[in-house]
Amino acid sequence: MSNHRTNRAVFLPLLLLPAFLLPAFLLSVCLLSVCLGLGVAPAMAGNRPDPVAEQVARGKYIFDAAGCLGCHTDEQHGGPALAGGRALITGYGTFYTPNITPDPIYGIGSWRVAAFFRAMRSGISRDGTSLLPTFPFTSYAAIDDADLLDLKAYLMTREPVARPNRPHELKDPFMLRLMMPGWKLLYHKEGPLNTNPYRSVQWNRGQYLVRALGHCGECHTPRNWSGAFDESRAFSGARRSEGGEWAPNITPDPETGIGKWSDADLLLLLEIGLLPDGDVIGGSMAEVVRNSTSRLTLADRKAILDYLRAVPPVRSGP
Amino acid sequence: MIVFGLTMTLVRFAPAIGADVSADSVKPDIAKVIEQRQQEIRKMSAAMKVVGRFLKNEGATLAEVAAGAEIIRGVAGVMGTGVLFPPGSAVGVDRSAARAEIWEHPEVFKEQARALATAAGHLAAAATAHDIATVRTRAAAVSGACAACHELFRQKLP
Repeated sequence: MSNHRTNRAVFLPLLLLPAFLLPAFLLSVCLLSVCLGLGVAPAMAGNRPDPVAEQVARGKYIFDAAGCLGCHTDEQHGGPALAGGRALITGYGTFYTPNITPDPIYGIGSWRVAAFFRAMRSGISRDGTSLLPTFPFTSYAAIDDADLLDLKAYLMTREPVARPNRPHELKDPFMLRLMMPGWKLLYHKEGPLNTNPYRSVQWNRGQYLVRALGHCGECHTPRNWSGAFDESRAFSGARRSEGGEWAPNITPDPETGIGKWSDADLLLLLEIGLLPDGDVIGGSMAEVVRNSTSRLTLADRKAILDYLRAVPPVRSGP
Repeated sequence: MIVFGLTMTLVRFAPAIGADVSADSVKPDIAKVIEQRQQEIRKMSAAMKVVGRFLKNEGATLAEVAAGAEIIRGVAGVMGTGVLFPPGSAVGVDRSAARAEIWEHPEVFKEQARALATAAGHLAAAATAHDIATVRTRAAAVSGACAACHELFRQKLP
């Protein structure tokens, strides 16, 4: 009996030893794995979100919403994506869009974040020259920091193209650049759009999409003598150059604007470019639908509509 | 009906871009050809309108979408032969909206027509299969094919 007790006293701790050692051993393995950067288990590591990939994906959405592809690609002449060279004909002459691929010499590959922000918001290139308002920095100035960072992250993942920029063919380039600082003082406001607390979140999102990212006013808002937006007639339709394409009135005016269009008609137009009569949208807007509005979420398309329905109606036609 | 109409068109209005008929066999009446092709294009618009009504939940059925897509496919096929686009029927003649690029780049024009016919065929298949999600994306492809062709070859008239 006594031997039996002795045996139990000796063997019980030995029997229980693995029960203590096993968790300790597993814990050590886990800690060691983490320290070595191996991850606890490959399956768990696979499910962990990749912050860089997520940022690039968000940047792609911003890129689409901002419509970068169309202007910065000379699609008509088979130019490579984002390598610039597309001609934009305006009353001030012909602008050729620049290369925004990550090429370090001809593109923006060596631009730091500060230079990118300054170009997007202040309209000043990395070398200090004034960008002209054909580049819609007056709209992009309201894009928030996070979206600009995401956009830059996405652009840096694109194919670099070593293609030099084509000089603009302007009527008076020297005067135009000389006037820019004064012009900006008068007409350019940097910073976020005013959030309207009396409007819905959707309306405010729509304002951001229409006025900042989508820069709809660049085509649809008429300009004053100096080329600045005429805000008293915002979105009432405009022509970019003499005899050029008419960008229609998108205010809620029932006769000349979108007042009589149903929500369903407008949403389908933004989604697939189909007009209520069965024709398809043409001109520059076809490209906007293809590269931009068709790629937005339905919620964002509705937000655009919500905002445009609330802008002051203006009677104005071509 | 479509086949009959298109056959008559082929007989009456050849030659045109790449039509396999001798150039001196028939002299086309340009005004009539323009009228004929605009009628055909209106059929496509009417068909797309039905597709739009379906997508907007305005009462059109999948069967109507499929039928409309087949009409578009048929007309696009004929447009690809070029019989509706004889030389001399460009902008400036009658109410023609056809840009000169159609005759300057006939292969591109035919390719655009083929792309439209293919996209319409895919839309018809999705509608026949009652695959509503796919109908949506394929309707977008048809609309995109129309827009791509217009961008290159249609003159917007006032």
